[in-house]
Amino acid sequence: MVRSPSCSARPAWGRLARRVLPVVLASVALLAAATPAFAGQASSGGLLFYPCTSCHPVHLIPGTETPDRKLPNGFEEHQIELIGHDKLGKGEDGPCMACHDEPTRNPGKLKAIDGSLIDVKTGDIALVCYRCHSSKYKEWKAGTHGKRKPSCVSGGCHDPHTPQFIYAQPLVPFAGTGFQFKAVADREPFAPLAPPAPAPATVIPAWFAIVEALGVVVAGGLAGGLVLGRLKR
Amino acid sequence: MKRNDEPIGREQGAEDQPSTTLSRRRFLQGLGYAAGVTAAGVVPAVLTALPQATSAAEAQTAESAAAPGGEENALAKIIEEDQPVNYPGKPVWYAKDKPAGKEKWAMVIDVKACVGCRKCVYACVRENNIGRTSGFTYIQVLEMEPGSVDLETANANYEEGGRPDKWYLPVQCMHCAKPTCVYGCPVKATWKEPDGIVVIDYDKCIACRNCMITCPYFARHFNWVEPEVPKAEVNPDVPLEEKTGVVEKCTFCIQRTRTGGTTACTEACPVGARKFGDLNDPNSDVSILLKTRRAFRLKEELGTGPMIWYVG
Amino acid sequence: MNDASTTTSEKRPGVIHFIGIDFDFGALKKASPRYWMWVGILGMFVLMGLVAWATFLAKGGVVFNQRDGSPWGLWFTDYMYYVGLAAGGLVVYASVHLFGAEQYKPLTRIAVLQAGVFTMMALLGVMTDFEKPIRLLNMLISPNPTAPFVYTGSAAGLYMVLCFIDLWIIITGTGGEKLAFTMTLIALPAAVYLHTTTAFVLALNKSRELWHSAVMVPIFLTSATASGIAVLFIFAYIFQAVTKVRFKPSMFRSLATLMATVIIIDLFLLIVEIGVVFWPTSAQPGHTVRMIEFIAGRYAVFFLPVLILGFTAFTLLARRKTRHLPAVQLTASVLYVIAIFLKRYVLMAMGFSYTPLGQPTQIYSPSAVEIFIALGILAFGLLFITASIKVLPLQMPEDDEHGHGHAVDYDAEFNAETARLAAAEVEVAS
Repeated sequence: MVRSPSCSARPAWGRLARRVLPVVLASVALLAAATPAFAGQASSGGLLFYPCTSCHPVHLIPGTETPDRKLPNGFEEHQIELIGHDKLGKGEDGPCMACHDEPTRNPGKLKAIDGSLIDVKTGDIALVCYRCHSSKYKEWKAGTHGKRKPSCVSGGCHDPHTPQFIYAQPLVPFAGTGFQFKAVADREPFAPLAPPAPAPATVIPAWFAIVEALGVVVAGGLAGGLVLGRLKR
Repeated sequence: MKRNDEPIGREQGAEDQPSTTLSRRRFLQGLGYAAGVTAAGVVPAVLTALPQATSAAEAQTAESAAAPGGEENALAKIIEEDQPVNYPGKPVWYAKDKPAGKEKWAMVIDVKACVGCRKCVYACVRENNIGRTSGFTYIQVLEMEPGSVDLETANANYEEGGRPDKWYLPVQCMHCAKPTCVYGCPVKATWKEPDGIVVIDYDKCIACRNCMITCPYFARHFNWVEPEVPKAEVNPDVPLEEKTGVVEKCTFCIQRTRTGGTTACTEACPVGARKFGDLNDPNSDVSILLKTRRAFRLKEELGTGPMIWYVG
Repeated sequence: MNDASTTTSEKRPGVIHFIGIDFDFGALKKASPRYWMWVGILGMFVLMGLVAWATFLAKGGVVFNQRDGSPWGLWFTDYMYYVGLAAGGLVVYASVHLFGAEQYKPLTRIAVLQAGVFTMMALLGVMTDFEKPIRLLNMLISPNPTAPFVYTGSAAGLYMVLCFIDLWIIITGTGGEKLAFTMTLIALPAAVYLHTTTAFVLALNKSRELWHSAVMVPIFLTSATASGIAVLFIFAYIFQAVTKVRFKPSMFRSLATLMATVIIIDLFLLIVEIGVVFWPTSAQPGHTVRMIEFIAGRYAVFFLPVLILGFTAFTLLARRKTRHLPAVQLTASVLYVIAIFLKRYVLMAMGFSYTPLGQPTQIYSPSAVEIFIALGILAFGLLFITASIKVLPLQMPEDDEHGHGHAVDYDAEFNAETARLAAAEVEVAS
């Protein structure tokens, strides 16, 4: 697990980003969780990032990095885990710059393979993934990989920062709950739906048992008579 | 028979023909017998070899005829094997408004992606009016040991999915090209439709359960009790009452697939492990997967020609 | 043809002459109370069987212990068993004419009756498994030529009819020796055909590893012959006990030798089957996992007695010095009859111990409803035979060398003889 390094090219901005970004993301998550339309939807068509702080400023307690208001739903601080995609780079150009053009402008735009920029909300995010995963992209386009959803990261499949996480339920990314499946090598057991039910039990109606018991008694009596009769002789 | 103690020789007289003399008649008789025996041995051998020779020739011409692009040939043999068997000329009654089209349905399951969540099992139960107390499901998911397809060590009742040290194999009716169940049904109550789906006519089934016994995939199940489905969950496109006391199994969601949809299990799979499609369409998921990935079938050595492949 | 003996029988009350046979219903009237008690017991079981069958028709398959893991149950065990017992009797009958075994001639009527009645019981057992029996007509409308079931079902039906026709031919003496011989030429291949098709219902399943073996056919044939002879033994002794007929001990002894021979062949084939499954160069996990259940696993309690009882029966009959003793013969027969019943159950269970997907199934044991239905059918068959002993002329009159005769009223003759002797004594006294 790697904490996202601050981009040291602009120190002041970097420190601010470090303080603000988690809170912003937390509030975004809060917003998304609070909105029923978002929370239950299978696919909204794009990543649920939004420059919330452009309208809703977040104030930090002076001298600290904690926000001055309690965030609902327990979102205090949030970190972006990079597993896998942490290998995309180090230092100034860090892993973030591999896909984002300006991560400090939450979240900025994404870079396509030809250098053009893709808007996070309205663009085709899959083209970012295509930069490295071209064969998988083609398989997905043909329909033989995964599900036919608007992009790799929407519709509950891949988390762009820890892409080997495969969501089984459409989740808001980073919410951290629900069915989550990892890549084969890292996956952990979970409780699936129930095993097959047993076959129905044999039914013996009460009237059947009574009638047959009577019959056995009568037949037994006759047999007894037969045996005793023979013995008497 | 009277014992003749006299020595054999010329003293016996003319009427005792010694067997050492070979008359012309004897020779021709012997020749005729030899020819007959040889013919008796050779003719059946020739007759059995002949159809193979002709079919081999036919196969050659068929292949060369379909040859132009190299790609079509790969699946042509599979498609050709998948012919209707015991088809009575019209679709089964619960699909009478949805006759078979030109498709050849097949399914490919990606066992690398399957995590054993059983969502397909229960989506199928809801879609196909399977009795909730009947004790069976059309689909069974087996938890397999790594490194083998040995069913003897598989577990169908696993309670933990997604284990990294196991892999998961969903099994259901394979809609075989040479379906043993269809061959074994005494009354032809089950048959293979022209688009490959093996169906059961619930009104004709005499409940002898021979098909359940001959199926190598344990795909067919009997309704020992009346299927109980909560009223709100009954699917009107699928029979319910008619299934009491007869055999039922996966129908590749005939009510959906014949009208342009896909099977319930394919839709339900959260990881996209199931692909259902038409082998006759070179651009369908299944065609592409079969041509580009390494696939295997279950119990291939039995020669049933199952139409569900597994890719890893 | 029948002139000499007709006059006696026509004058006796209760005898109905129908289709050439004297049905002696009068003998039933004179039957002892013990006979009627026995009939009463059988009748009770038939009634209980009908009640059980009605329960099944009302409630459906859930009253049976059959489930997806073991879709066939007691009725199929009984089908294989009774069809087996039927053939054995017919083999004895056939050997009289085909192999010149004249010593078995007195048993021919009993043997053929056994064949017909047991086949009828087998078919009844199959019928009781269908929730909607009317659908069986579909087998006539659209039979499937690749289904083994079609062949065995039709074979059993035709075989039963053939046996009863054959019985009629033997009793009435129609066609004389020539027709009797022709009938054996038809009957023996028919018996072999019936068994082969029954074995094929098991053997022609590539999904069930332990069944999918060509050795099923010879095993079925030998088990059938041996068990059929064993039941014939029991019937012959019972027949000898309840009527005044006496069979020659040499006949029984010869039959015992025949039975011993067939038993040892049967056991040999069983050992061969096990050997092939476990030998290192031919062992396959699918086979060994399933077979081990029967030798050392959950089903061992059913399978090992088959071998033990079978070998005991053979050993009992192997000793020449004691082979002629009725006690030895009867014990061996009873042991073997039990052994073969267990073997039929084991043969069926061999296909069901694991599902085709390698999952172990629960051991099948019949439910109460199934047991009562099976007992009802058995009682019905025994009732048929019990009545036939009195009503049908099953014994061979000594004066008729071809074995065709009519009912000879031994009671009347005995009484007449006693009266004559008494009269003679009185004469002497006075």
